[in-house]
Amino acid sequence: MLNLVKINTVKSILFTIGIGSAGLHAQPFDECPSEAFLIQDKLANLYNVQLATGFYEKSSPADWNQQKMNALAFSVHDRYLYAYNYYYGTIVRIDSALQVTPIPLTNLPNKGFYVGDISVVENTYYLYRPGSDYGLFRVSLDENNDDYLNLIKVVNGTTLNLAIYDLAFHPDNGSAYAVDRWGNLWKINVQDGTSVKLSNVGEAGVFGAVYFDVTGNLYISRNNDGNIFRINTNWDYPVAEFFAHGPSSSNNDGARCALAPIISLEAPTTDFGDAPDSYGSSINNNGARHDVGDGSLYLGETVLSEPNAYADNGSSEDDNDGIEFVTGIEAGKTAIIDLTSSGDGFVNAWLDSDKDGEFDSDEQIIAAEAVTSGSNIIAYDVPTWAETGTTWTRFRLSSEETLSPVGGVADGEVEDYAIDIAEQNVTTLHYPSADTWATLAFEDRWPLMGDYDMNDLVVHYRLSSYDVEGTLMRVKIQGKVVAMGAAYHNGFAFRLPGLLRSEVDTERLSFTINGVEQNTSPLEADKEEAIFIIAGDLWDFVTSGENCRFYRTEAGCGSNIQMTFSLEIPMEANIIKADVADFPYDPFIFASEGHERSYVFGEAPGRRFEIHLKNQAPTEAFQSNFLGRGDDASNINNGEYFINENGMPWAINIPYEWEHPVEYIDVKFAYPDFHGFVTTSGAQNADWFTTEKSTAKNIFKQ
Amino acid sequence: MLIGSRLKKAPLKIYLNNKETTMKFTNIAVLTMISFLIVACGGGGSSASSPPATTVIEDPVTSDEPTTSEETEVVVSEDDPVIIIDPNIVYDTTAELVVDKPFLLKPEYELVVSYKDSNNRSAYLSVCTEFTEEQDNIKVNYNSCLLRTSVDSNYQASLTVANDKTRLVMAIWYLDDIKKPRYEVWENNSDAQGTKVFEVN
Repeated sequence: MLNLVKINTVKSILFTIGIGSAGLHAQPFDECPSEAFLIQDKLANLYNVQLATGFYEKSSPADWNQQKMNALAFSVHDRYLYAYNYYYGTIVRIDSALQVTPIPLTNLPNKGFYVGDISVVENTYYLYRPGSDYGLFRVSLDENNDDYLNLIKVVNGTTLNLAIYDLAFHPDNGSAYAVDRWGNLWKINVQDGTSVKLSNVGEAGVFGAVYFDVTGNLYISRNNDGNIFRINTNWDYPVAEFFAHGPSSSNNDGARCALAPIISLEAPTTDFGDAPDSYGSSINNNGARHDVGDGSLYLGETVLSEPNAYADNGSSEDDNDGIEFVTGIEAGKTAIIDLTSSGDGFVNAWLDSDKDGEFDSDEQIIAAEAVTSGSNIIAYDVPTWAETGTTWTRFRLSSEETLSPVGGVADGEVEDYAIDIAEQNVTTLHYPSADTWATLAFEDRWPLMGDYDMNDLVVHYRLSSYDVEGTLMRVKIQGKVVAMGAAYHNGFAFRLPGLLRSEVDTERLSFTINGVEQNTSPLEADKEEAIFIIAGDLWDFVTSGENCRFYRTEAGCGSNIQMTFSLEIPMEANIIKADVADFPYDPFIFASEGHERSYVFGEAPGRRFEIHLKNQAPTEAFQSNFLGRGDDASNINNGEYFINENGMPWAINIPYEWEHPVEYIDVKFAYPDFHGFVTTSGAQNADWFTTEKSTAKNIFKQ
Repeated sequence: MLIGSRLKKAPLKIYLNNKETTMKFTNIAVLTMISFLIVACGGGGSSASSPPATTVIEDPVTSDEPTTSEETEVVVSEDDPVIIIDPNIVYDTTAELVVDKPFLLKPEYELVVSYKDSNNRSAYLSVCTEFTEEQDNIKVNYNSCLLRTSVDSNYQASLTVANDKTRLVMAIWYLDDIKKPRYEVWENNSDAQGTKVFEVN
């Protein structure tokens, strides 16, 4: 029997329409609903089921007083529900107000049908019961048909003898499908009553409710445990995959509009994770998903619904807010999380420790952990064999005790996090912090002075270093190119001063641009020092907008960020962290090969041209006699580099997600406190760079 | 304009194929150059497709002075002007702004974190910038951390902290008693001289 715990807070289309028009004229349903209908029990109850999650709620009123019904069918032709009603001993039509109207048939056998559905391609109701006295019958519901409401036997129940408990019509091929108690998938030609076994789907039992969606997926619901499986009938050998936990019952029949997708695009009620799809996130990959249901059980402060993983949920709010990683995640050590739950439930969690893009069964870190409302401190063991670096973790909260990393469930929430697995006893340093950005802003006319709008190149970036007792293990560099207010072609690179090229473990080096692993090594060839070229020419990766000269520096010239990058730099053994420079290392720009610079260079200077932060010496690739040209007033004897006569540099670094000035606007007019900060050598206006201290009209807004 | 005013201060040098040449300009030449540079205002961008350099290069002027090897030559300003750093001067533009040469314009400060534990308890330590305090309860945003480390004895590290971050929290989670984390808050006293230290005993 059903053990309904859900409250009908999310009213179904069926129910709301039913209330609204109760007692009035019989009306069909006004659309092809995405949810399924399920009818159960001796005194009949009608439910709405979200097949994607198994979430269900009763839609029939308490005083419905209808006797047992079965062979439920949704007609796409007139948008009424039909069923065989044991009280009336004939089929009935159920309207949107849930009024039940018996329909007398001729030639009706004296025993009921518990298998049936209405074809999508013809307005005909097919009813089936095995045994010599029965078989497959058809009854036309088309008033214009000669056999309107006349029951006609298609085939004898001995000839078509299947141990099936429901069938469903395919959305377009005219055949009915069913899975028998041994798990055999049958395709039934209802015109001649023949059947063909397509496969054994690998799951046995009484499948009392089966449904199709518009893409040809067959969903079968098992009576004893309520498990819903999905079978893609387009496959050569269709098999069942566990899809969701649904309602269980001894007596069950389902129907749905086969022309609808299973999740409403307009009014989704499902929460998805956002790990890459190799982990099972989208509906196509049977991704982890939870019905928001009555909205009472979730992680953190909120949960939002979306029609699919990665889909826009119409909110800028981040509902990935339930887990605090209060310790690091180190191979072979205990880690602790602080999990916030809205109520009682169970948590299951996985960590992709071998970084293979899947949550394997031995990667479950938390199993059926009971949690209560509020903060829950949970410790778990990170496998000794866990590989260091960035990977994904998935947390699922539900009233269901046992969950797998994929599939649907009727309540709770899934939250996926990209995290770092570290070496044992690692010390992690972040700049400016783990999830904020620092800013590099360049004037690129060096050695000539520019206009100090500080937006010829603007990069947001963050750095992390990982060391074990002073031995540098890894360095991580992440960033995004947020503005280019210049047409010069610049490359962008990081040097790690103090680190030699030979000290980088090039085998494990990882470099992505826009999330795509790059085939070419960022480590610059033929150099002694470790120099990482993010791009030889940034204009290869970004474009200025329509009618815009530059990238994200002019009013009305906003665009999405077009270039992100990430570098994970593992070290060879025994690199002393103290020998390598501190944050922010040495970020710099250089001239792209083959592109002219200003008149102070007689030819395109290419890689020999660099611009660094103030008083940062250039790399070995730099042509040293470029210093001192134009307005450059470097003095290597004093350790002064890339400054003009006034001591001003061509590049500044700000440990803040800085909003750069719009094109041609002197930084002074975007940040009035900047000069005071500089002239007092930092003693005053220490926070000149914050948004609060900016002149809003002079900074670039998306 | 900005660039034009700079031209008055130093003898102009022209570089041809990376060899340095000094040339004397007539007034007309200077004016021509200035007008090019005015066009070029607004970053390299405005001029890269047709840099003013092109005109100059097409009409090279040679010098009698011998050129030295370009790879070894380093141009060093020999007559470094005396720079006056005066906080009271108001500069109209950043082009005029005078900066103390050793001042790196870094809007951040160094913070020494010192954690002392005589009991040698195994713990996990985080130093972060975002946290909320409600009554006796502190909630830390661990995505805002600058330092995260396992500790089982005394620990010290030096952090670089953005100037706008004036309050930091240290969260200490003891592995032998995971339900009782400890929080310590440090506040930057910007007037204090010398090394800033966040000390937890």
